[in-house]
Amino acid sequence: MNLIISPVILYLLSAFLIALIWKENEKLAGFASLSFSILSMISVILLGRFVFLNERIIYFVGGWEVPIGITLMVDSLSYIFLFTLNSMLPLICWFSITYMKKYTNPGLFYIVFSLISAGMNGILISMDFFNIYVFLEIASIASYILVAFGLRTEEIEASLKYTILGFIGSTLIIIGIGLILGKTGTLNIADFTYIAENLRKHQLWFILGLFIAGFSLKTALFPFHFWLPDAHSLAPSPVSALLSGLFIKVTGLYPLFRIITNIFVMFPESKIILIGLGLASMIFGSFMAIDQIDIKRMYAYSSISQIGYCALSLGIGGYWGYLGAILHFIFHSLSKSLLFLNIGAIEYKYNTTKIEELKGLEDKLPYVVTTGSIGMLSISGIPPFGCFWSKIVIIISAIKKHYYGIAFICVIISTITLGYFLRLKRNIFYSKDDESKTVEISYNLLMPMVILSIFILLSGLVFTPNIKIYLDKAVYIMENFTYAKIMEK
Amino acid sequence: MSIKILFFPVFLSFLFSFLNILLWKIRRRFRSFLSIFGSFLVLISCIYILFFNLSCFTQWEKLSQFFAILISTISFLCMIYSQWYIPFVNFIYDSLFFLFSGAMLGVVLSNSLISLYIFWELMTISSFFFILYENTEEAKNASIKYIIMTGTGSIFLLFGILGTNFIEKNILWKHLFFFSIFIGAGVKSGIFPLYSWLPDTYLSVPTPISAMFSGIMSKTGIYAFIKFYFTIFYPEWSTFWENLMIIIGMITLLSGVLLALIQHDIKRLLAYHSVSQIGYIFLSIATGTSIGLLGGLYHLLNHSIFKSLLFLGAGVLIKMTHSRELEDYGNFSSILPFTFLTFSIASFSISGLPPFNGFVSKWIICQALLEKGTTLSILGMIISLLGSALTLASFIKVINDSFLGVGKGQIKEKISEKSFLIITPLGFLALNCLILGIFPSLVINKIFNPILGTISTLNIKLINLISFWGYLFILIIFLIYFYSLRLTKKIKEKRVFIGGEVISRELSDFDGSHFYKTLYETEGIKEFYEIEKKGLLDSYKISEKFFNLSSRISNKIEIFMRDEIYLKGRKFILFLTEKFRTFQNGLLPRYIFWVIAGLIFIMEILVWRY
Repeated sequence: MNLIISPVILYLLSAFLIALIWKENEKLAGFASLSFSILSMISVILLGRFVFLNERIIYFVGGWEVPIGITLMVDSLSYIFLFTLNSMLPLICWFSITYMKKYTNPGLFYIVFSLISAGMNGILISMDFFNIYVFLEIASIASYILVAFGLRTEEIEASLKYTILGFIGSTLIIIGIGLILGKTGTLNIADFTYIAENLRKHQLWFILGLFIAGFSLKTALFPFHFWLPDAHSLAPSPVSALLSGLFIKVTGLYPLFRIITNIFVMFPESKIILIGLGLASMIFGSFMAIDQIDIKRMYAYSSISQIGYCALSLGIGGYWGYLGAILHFIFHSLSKSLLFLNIGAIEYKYNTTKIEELKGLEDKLPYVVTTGSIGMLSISGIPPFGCFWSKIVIIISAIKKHYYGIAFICVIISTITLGYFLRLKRNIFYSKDDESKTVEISYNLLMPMVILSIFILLSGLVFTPNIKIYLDKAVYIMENFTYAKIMEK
Repeated sequence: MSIKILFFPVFLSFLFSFLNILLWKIRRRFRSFLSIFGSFLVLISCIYILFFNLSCFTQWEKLSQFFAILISTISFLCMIYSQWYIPFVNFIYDSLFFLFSGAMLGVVLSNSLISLYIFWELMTISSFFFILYENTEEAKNASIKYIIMTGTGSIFLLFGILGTNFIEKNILWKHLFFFSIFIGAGVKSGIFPLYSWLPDTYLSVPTPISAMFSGIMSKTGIYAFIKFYFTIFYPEWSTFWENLMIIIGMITLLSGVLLALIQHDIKRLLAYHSVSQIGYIFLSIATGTSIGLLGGLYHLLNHSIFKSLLFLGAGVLIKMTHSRELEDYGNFSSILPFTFLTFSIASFSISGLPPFNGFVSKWIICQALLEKGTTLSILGMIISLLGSALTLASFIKVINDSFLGVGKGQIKEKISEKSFLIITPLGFLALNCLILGIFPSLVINKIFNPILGTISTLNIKLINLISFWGYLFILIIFLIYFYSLRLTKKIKEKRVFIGGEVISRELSDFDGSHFYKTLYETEGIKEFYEIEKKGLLDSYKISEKFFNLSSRISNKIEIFMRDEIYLKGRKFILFLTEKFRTFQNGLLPRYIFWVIAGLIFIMEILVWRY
């Protein structure tokens, strides 16, 4: 099935083509990037039918068999990530067409944007440790570039810190992969899992520890998160939306999903680790977000807190836990991307993201304020919006396993989230200002936000019941599937 | 049967509610057409279920269908009538109307208790806006009373619904949850100590909505009660509650009709009669036998028909004179012959004269009470007969004051009865009063036997016999009607002498409401009215005293919360934030240290077990 590889190919092609034309025509570069992202979205939608008909699709690149060649696989779990990723990339690209005019070389941005997208898509379709590492590095290096895109001193400093910490994470992962190759002589995940069933636990725990640490660093769970607030708050806003909404989930959370539930299934201890890391991130992120003076930095800390929910839910496990993790991934991606795009639109108009300098936006930018409120209420878990449903599923999962304390902490953290978002809303949206003229805002900036907020608004009531059958398939994969089953066939 | 088809009427109602908002700019005539068409579609979609194979429905689903058809019919008629009654009304009225009827349909059609509760709340809220519709001071007070009382009732109902899982555990729980469901359903239907919202509310809403409130909304309370009592608690689970319910039914019946007797506001009078008729239904259902349930359901059907007819008829008078006082009416039978005919049919029905439908159901109720055979139920039967007589007395007053008598009614607005918008609802309802009264065996066989199963102990022959003789009675009524048409055109006047002196007309005239004021001095009943005047029967007024106390307490709690919990909690959280900030100090070596610490932590947990 050639459709599997098409997103990666399309984005790589897009990067190559834009590199040829960006100096001559910057406008065309943006539209080329947008059209390629729409094409890849269409290819992913077409892929969906095959995935849900056949349970999973496996593709041997060049016809080489396991363990020699590269193997690609898409099943329901990775398809949900793939679909969310590819349906949001065009929106972010659309937004950046206008937004990136602030910068001197917007054409360069689209090259790196295409590369990071290709990398993220690659992680989701590979069934090979080394392949995952390669695509992870493509995406990560592209993200280091994107963070430093403004070339101001603070941005370069943030990017430097991010690069160093990111390389530490990558190093941990590549050491783990090297150990795997040494122990089993294979890099294919299915093959490794098949062999690892006969290995003893003490031969594998070190690899697992390296992987969890490495991918937690990419996900920004508590003690590994220190790069995130700087990087996400100083990057250009669409990049922040991409990094916070998608990048940390696809490069960090998705491999963790796989490692915990499908590959190293014999380690129940790993779930305890995830619960601990998740709780720590939730508490740390939300407490740090309370009195930030920079809005983007507050959103960044909020991301840490919310990604903690995902990790916690994954650690709790069971049907409800896995369902909550997937749902929270989807809804948090939507909401946090919306919020970063939103602050991007404000930043585009007023050139600041400080809370003190923004006042009375309710009259000036009514649409931006409406969409922003939807995003904030969603992340705080207010009923009709997206994240409420995922948070309630997570709380249900905790109660079903009798972790009452954890359920209580989830509720408290959600309240604190509501608290700091309300503070933000009161200060920048609903405060009084002398000037209250409506400011014109570009259609390109507004439409992605409106689309995202409509999705969030309808998500809980309309989409969740309809996509539940697909979510159930993904949860089934997390509960029952190990890669070894592919090899047994 | 798939739930989607059963729920179609509810969906349709909400759709039309939404459509009315969307099309808020269209002209009134088109919206009239749209609304009537919409409520007709809802009615059709309710009746449509009957064409399926009915044997696949359970008994209780059939009961829901019965209620749904009743609700959609009455709402359809009220919708037609309101196009005549309030021709200049805006889209909010129509939209709320559909929301309200859709919520009521949702209550009776929902198959889970939680969705029943949700629709119940929706019904409460949408009806609340109708009370505020006319925006008078009176309406504002009524709306506050309504929302407080029914809101409390809803909370009790929710408590009862949530408790249904635990009733098997402990007999005390069972008593508690039955009590809360009893309160929840009772507030809505208006039983004895809980009806104080009812008269004020009924007279503040527009008249077609009064008809809906009295005709069908109070019936949803009965529906909820029947559903809980017969499916979850089962009759006869406690003789204490059974006796209490019979006593409450009796008090409701008697107090309603006694208060109705002395009213001179036509809507308030009808509202108190509504209370009294609910008392009948309750008394009958409280026996717990199937014949009792039959009597209750039959009377419920009848009551919703004749009470909506009465309200709609009263609406004609109110629209013509712009007044609700009986004193302002008089001698309208020549101007409004059709209203006179239908109103009197309804009055005879509610008073239980054969061959109208009220008679049949009251007969069955008496039979059920007799069959029960306890002292209380025999007493109940006697009281129901007494109540019936008092109802007749009350309605003779109404008919005398409004349609007959010496003409002194002032006509503020010229209206015509010939409109199709008024003949359809009034005529259809009056016809049903007759049909349900003359063919009781047919009605019982076709409508109630599928729901309840055949009831062997019912003596239906006697009812048929009486109904048969009732044909004659109808003939007489029609004769009276046509006679009165001729009679009222030329009133005979004779001079009155006292001691050889002619007294003026103002002195010699009297109207019914003044005459009935002598009841205040009658021994035996006098005490009841005195108690009522002191407000001892009004549960709202009594509980108002506690509101002050509770507000003072909650004020203190609020101050405590602010000082002790909020301010101290804020301090604590900010303290924690300060502590956490030391982690994020911008030094890269420190960050790397934490990464390694985290790695060691993970490894430590992984090797914990060995």
